[in-house]
Amino acid sequence: MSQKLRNRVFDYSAAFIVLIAVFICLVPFLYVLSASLSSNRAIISQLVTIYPIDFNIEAYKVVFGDGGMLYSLFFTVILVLIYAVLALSVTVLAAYALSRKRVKGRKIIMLVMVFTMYFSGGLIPDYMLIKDLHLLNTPYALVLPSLMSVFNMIILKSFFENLPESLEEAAYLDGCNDLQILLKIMLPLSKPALATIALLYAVFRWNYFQDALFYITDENLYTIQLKLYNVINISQQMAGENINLNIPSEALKAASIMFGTIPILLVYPWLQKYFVSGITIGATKG
Amino acid sequence: MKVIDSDLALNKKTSIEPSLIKKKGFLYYLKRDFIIYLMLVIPVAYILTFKYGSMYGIQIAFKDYNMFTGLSESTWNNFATFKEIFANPQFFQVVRNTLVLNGLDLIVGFPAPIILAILINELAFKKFKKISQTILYMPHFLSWVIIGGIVTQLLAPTGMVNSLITRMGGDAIPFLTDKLAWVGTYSLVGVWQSAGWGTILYLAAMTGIDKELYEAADVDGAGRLRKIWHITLPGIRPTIAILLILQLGHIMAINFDRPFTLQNNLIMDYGDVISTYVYRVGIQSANFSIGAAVGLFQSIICLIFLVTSNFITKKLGGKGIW
Amino acid sequence: MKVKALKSIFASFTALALATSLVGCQSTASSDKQSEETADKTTGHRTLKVEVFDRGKPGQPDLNNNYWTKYINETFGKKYNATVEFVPVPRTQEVDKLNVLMAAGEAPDIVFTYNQGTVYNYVQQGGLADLGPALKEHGSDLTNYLGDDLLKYGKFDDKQFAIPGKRTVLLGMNTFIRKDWLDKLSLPVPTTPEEFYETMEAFKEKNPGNVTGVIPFGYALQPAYPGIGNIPDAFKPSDLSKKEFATLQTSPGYQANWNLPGFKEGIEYVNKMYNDGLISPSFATDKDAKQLDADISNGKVGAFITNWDGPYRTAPGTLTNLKNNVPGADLIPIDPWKNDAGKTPKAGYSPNGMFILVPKASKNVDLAVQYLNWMADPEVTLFLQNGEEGVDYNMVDGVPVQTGTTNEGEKMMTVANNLDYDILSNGIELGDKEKNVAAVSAGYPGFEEEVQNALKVGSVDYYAPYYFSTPNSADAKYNTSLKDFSAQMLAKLISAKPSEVDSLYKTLVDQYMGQGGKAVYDEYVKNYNAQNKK
Repeated sequence: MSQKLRNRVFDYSAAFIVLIAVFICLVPFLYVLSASLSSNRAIISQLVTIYPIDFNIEAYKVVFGDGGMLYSLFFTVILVLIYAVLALSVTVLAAYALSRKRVKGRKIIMLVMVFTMYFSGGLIPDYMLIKDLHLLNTPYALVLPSLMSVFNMIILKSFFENLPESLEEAAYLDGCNDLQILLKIMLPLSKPALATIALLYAVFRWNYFQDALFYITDENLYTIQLKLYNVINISQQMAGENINLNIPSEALKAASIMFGTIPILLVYPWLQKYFVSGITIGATKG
Repeated sequence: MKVIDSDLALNKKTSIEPSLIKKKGFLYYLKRDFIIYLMLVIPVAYILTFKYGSMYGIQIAFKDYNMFTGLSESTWNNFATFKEIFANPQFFQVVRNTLVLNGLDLIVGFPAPIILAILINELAFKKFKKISQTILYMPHFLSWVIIGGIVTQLLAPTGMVNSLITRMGGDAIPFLTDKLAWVGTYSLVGVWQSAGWGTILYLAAMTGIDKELYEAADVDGAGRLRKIWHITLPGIRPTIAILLILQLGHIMAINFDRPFTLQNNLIMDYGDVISTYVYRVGIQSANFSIGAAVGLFQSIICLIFLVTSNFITKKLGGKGIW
Repeated sequence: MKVKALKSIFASFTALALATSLVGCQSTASSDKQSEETADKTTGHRTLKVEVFDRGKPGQPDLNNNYWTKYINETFGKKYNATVEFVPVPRTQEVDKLNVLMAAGEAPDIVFTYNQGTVYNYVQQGGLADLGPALKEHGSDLTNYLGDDLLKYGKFDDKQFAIPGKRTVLLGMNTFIRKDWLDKLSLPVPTTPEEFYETMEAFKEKNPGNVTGVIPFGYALQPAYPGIGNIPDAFKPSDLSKKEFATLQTSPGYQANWNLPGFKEGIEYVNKMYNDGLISPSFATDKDAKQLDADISNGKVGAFITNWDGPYRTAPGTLTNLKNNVPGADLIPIDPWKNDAGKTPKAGYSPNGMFILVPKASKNVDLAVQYLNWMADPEVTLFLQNGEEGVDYNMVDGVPVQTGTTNEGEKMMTVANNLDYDILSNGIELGDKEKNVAAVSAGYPGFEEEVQNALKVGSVDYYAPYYFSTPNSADAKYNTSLKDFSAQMLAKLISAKPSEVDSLYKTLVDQYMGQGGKAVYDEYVKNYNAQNKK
């Protein structure tokens, strides 16, 4: 078989496998989407598969007609943007600094940070801390306590460590200081890594509601997932109540899920332009 | 003493102060790397304030915690909580299950995103590449409550898949009701949910591989598979290593939602894990001490695994976490 | 470069500050009122913080600033010179959040929970205020409304640590059957377990609904409620002593009571049904009963046991779905679990609903009791539960019928009869048992008659759990894990081979007892003896 033909076979095989994977991943989503456009009866009777039955948009009318829901969406989007930028900045500072092998105390600081990945005070001490810092019921409580993930920092640090040392040497020769090296040379080369970490933070902040649950009582500061959690998870069998609860219809639950998921799905395609490789490393070889 | 000045090796300009050349004191490094240390101020301040600020809470595992009188008033209980936990044979069962399920995730679930990332990277059709990336990580965004509901509907003894099988004349497969089959289902569903998301990191790493290497390989007449094996994989090896170490460092920790929603009453012998156990025994009865003690146990084991795997990686010539 | 970095950081903080101020604007409306009134120190004005469930209902108004909170502040607030501030707690995570608030000393003056274990925990750790003195001084209406028989459920070690809410409907479960199937096969309504079994077999053989995969007896094993419904009552000896009843039937009716005489026979009955192919094949994986709901809605199920009003509830609306999917289908409640004395006992709820608590750290214990006392006034209850007569509801034969104004906007009732604000009640409360019954069925539009009937059938031989004046500490400790193990036991026993049931039962129950079941039982015996010595 000629090389060209072998390449062809490979291309189509790869595409085929990816296609199957794509299909498997798409189906559950199609199910939720269809459910959001179907009648309650159809959903409960398990008649809905990947297309709507008794098509109607009532559920979406309710969701979009809820001012509180839209406000929460808007608030969460802004929060996520600010948080991602701040978190990324702090992570970059730590990751870059700790990636420089010559830095004394590097190991100790790493240990101090890694320790926190495994050991923490627990729910109530965390709450007390936030309370003592007067951050309860403020948007800062949704940004500061989770400002940097050591896990993400380690990954980013690994990226920085794998950039060639010759870059730094050359820059020193040109008279740059460490900050300039970071900003003018290292960061532009790390676009894919930065975009990835930013994405990880954005998704984390979008989905994480446990902090809002405990630290926030003002409904205006609920993140969208917290606001939606009760809609989606409230069940008729709420322990002890034994009354005819008028809970959201299954279609409404599905529409709420769509409402709370689609915005964050769109972040990656938007960021994809950063995932193209930066300046080829070969440029420094000259 | 021959001073091989590391700074000179880096060709770095420093203001050479004769009095400090031999003494390499702390102040010297502070001056030299001042900006670097400055960079560390905010992250370290954050860690100390928000992580260590509440670290005293670890004591809960060692005390009879009374949530109203507070931690300082609660009495030390002479490891009573730990004794209670280890005296319960059920605890060891859930530890075993946790290790088995996590081990499977490592064997099956760790390579999956790598393979998938390679395939995506190789895709020739650009548009398809973009769209498929987005779709592949969609499952990551669905909460386990939803996934659990879908999985049950599909794989129950009379679910959609089995209905199809029986209609075609076969025997229903006990995906969820047989203990071993359940473990397999748990694993595969996990792979399905996380593989797409996992590709992002690897794809990002692949963009950093020098294109010239591929061109050179083409000249040498290498086929697609050889290029993958000799260029792509080594190119992302550091990423693989770090992620592997980090995942090993979570071997005793297990997510709650996934086992909780997939569990059912027939498979608890294999399906009950540490997180669901603590939920029942600890959290539901507001027994914070048990939750804290088990958490501590998990953390210590995880840390041991982390340190060990990091050590081994470095011994094998790779770069560890520190 | 440096400047750029600084600029972007600065911009981020500005944006954050902007967002905060925007948010600040949004909430000043509700906090304005508070700041005005709490600043007034000269007249001893106080703020009473009350918990309110947040069910996340789309379109719900600000839970601390709506028609109902205004009414409460206008009436109670003005009279007692106080501002009532409502603190929302998400319904699905209420226990978690309450624990944290209590531990941090941040809990509102009035909190509540359905979870008895949580209450017991708080009592043990000394976190609750003893309401006895305040009740004597300020709670005369409240005591009259609830009655000592109900109030005793809130007593721990003879101290009134909790105020129990009043349940309107105490019924547990009902058995429902497809009337149209019975008619099609010309079968009578079964009145004994044997007749029921024969009916199930007939359903299977003859498939009157002509469906694929007919399920004569629909069943879902829910880990949260592991049991076999009213079936064991048919096999429980009618001459069971009070002591045996008190110490052996300690779990609620929808849960398993492994040592209760008759329970084993009940298990054998269900096991026989399973082996004869008469019950839902997926019962063990149907954790949330979604499959059962689907099967009922699709007309595949012949009979099932569920809450007394199960099929009539708006969600999941099984009867409505069934009627849409299968024209001509109908469900009726039946009473086949007849015991040796010809009676059909049905376990139900005790008269207490929610546990209303006041944290020990609260500075407003007296005010809290005054608030509850005020709420016990029948006029207040009537208003909170229905709104204004002529506007929000009309009296029809002494029963309030909603006009619909309370379904949206400022007046929205997040739950029927506004129980999130009227925390003293768990159901409509008109002060009169008969009127209550009539009013209950009004809450099921379209099924009023059916619900009346279900109420009637479900009330026959209703009995409440035994009242223990001392809580069981072993139960508080082991309850969740024992309940979980019960679910596993049920799964194994029901799907076992008939010849194995006997020995498997014994083995599993031994394990159950060894895991804490014995400790729980021993303590119940101890408590019973102590309670009945007096």
